[in-house]
Amino acid sequence: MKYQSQAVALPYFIAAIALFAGQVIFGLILGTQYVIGDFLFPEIPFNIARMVHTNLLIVWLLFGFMGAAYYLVPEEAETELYSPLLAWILFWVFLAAGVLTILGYLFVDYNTLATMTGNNLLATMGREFLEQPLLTKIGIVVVALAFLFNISMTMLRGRKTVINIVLLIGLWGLAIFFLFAFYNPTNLVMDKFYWWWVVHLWVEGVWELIMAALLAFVLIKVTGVDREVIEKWLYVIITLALVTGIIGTGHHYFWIGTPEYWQWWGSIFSALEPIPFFAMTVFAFNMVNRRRREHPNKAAVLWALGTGVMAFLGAGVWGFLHTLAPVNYYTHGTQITAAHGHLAFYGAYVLVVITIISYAMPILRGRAANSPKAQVLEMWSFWIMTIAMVFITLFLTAAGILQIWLQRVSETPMSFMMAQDQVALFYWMRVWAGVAFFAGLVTYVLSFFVKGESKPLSA
Amino acid sequence: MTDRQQPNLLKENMPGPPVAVLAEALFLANLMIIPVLGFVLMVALWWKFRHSDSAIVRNHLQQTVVTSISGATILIGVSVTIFLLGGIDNPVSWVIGVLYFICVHAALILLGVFGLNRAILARKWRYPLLGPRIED
Repeated sequence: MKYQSQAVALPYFIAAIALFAGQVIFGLILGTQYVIGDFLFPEIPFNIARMVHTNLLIVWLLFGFMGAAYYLVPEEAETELYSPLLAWILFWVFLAAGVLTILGYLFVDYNTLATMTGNNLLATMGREFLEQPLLTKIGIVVVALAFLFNISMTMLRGRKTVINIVLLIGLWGLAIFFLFAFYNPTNLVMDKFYWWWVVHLWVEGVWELIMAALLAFVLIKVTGVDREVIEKWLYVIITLALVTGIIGTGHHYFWIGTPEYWQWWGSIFSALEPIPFFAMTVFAFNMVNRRRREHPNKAAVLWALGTGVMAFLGAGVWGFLHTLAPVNYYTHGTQITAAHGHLAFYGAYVLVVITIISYAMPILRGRAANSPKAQVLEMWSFWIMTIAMVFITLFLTAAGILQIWLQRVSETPMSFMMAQDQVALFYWMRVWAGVAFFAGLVTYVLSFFVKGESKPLSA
Repeated sequence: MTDRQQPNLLKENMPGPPVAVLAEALFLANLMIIPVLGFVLMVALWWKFRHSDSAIVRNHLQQTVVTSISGATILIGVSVTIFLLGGIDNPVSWVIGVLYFICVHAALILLGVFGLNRAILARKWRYPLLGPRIED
C-alpha cells in the first residue's frame, strides 16, 4: 500500500465479513421460520431474528464503508491518515457496541432492553431498522462524528479529488440523516414521514454517492482510464442519484396518511430512480472495456462489473416494478418489497463493499493481487452468491405476485396468514437458494486462505 | 461520416460516432422511458443515416431497429400468449407472465447497455440471438 496508515482498513474489512456471515446465518434462520413456524422458538423468535438480520446488514455495511474510507481517502489525498490511533479506537468501540447490541437483542427481552438503556428518557426504539437502544444510537453518532473528523482532516491537508469529495459528502450525509433516528413524533404519520428520511435518504440518496465513489476509485485502479473521464461519469451519476432519489422519497408516502400529491411526485421521480443505477452499469462496463492491459486482480474487476449489473437489476428494475402508485396500491408491503430489498441491497451495497475489499485486501496483505487459485475461488463465490440471490429474488417475487392475487385481487380474498400458507412452496425454494448463498459466502471466506504464487506489489 | 482509426480510449470521453451512440440510447429509451416514441425516433434515425459511410453507424442502427422489433415480438407476444393460454383471472398466469416480462425486459436492457457501451467505444456489436448478422 502507498501509505502505512491505510492498514487500519484491514480490521474493518475483517469485521465486516464476519458480521456479513452472521447476517446470512440469521437470514437462513428466518427463511426456515417462514416454513417451520416454531423453528428455534422460543430461543430466537421471528421478530428478534429479523431485527438481528437487518441490523447486522446495516452494521457490517457501515464497517465496510469505514474500512473503504480509511483505505481510499489517504491514497486519494496522497497523505497519511490524520489519526490512525483514533481509527483503531473507533473500531473497537463500534465493534463492542454492535456486538453488545446484538447480544442484547438475543438475550434480553426487548421491553426490558428499552428500559435498561434509557428509552424512557428519549423514546427512539421499536421502529424497523432503527430498533437500536438509545445508547447504541448515541454511540453510532459519536463514532460517526469522530470517523468523519478523522477522514475530513486527512482530506483537508491533502489532495482534494472528486472521488474523495463525493465520498465525504456521502459519508457526512449518512451521519446527518441518521440524526432523524432520534426524532420520534407521537403522530404515526409524522413518525413514518421522518423515519424514511433515515432509511430512504440513506439507501436511495447518500449511500449511492458512497457507492459511486468506491466504484470510481476501483475502476481507476484496475483500468488505468484517465481520471478526468471517470470523474465526468461520477458527476453525472451523483447528479442523477440526487435529483431522482431525494423527491423519490415520495414513493414511501403513498398510503401512510400524507397528502395525495405524493402519489404523483413519488411515482414520477422514483420512476426515474433506475437511471443513476443504469448509468453506473454503463460506467462500469465502459471503463473496463477501455483498459489496455489486464489488471492482475481479475476478481476485483468481476465484483465491480457485478455491482453495476446487480445494482441496476435490484434497485432499478425491481424498484421500478412496484414504485408507481397505482401498482403499489396492490403490491405495498408484500413479498415483492422483500424481493426488491434483497436484490437491491446485495447488488448495490454488498457487492460494492466486496469490490473494494477484493481490490484492497491483497494490497493490505502485501501483494498486488491474490494467487490465481485464490482468485478463481473468489470468482466462484461471486457466481454462487449472485445466482443464489437472483433465485431468492425470483422466488420472493413469485410469492409476492401470488400473495397479491390471493389477498388483494381475488373476489374471495384470503387473510394474510391463509395466503402465506398458499405461497409456502416458494418460501421453501427461497430457503434452498439461501443455503446456496451461504455456500457461496463460505467459498468467499475460504478464498482468503488459499495459498499460491501471488503477484508482488511493485515498488 | 467515416470511422476514425484507433481512438485513445484512456483519455477520450466518447470516441464512438454520436449517431451510433444515439441509436443505442434510443433503443434503451424505448425500453425504459419513452416506449413507442423511442422506437419511432430510432426508425427515423435509421432512415436518415442508413447509408452512412461509417460501418459502425450502420451496424448500430441496423442492430437496434431489428432487435427492437424481434425483442418486442418475444417480449409482448409471449406475455400475451401466457395470459391467453392461462386466462387473465388465473393467478398462475400472473406469476409466470409477470416474471417472464421482468426477466426478458431486464435482459433486453442489459443487452442495450452492452450495445451502448460498444457504440461509445466505436466498436461493432451484435445483439445475441435477436440481432442480424454483422455485415462484413
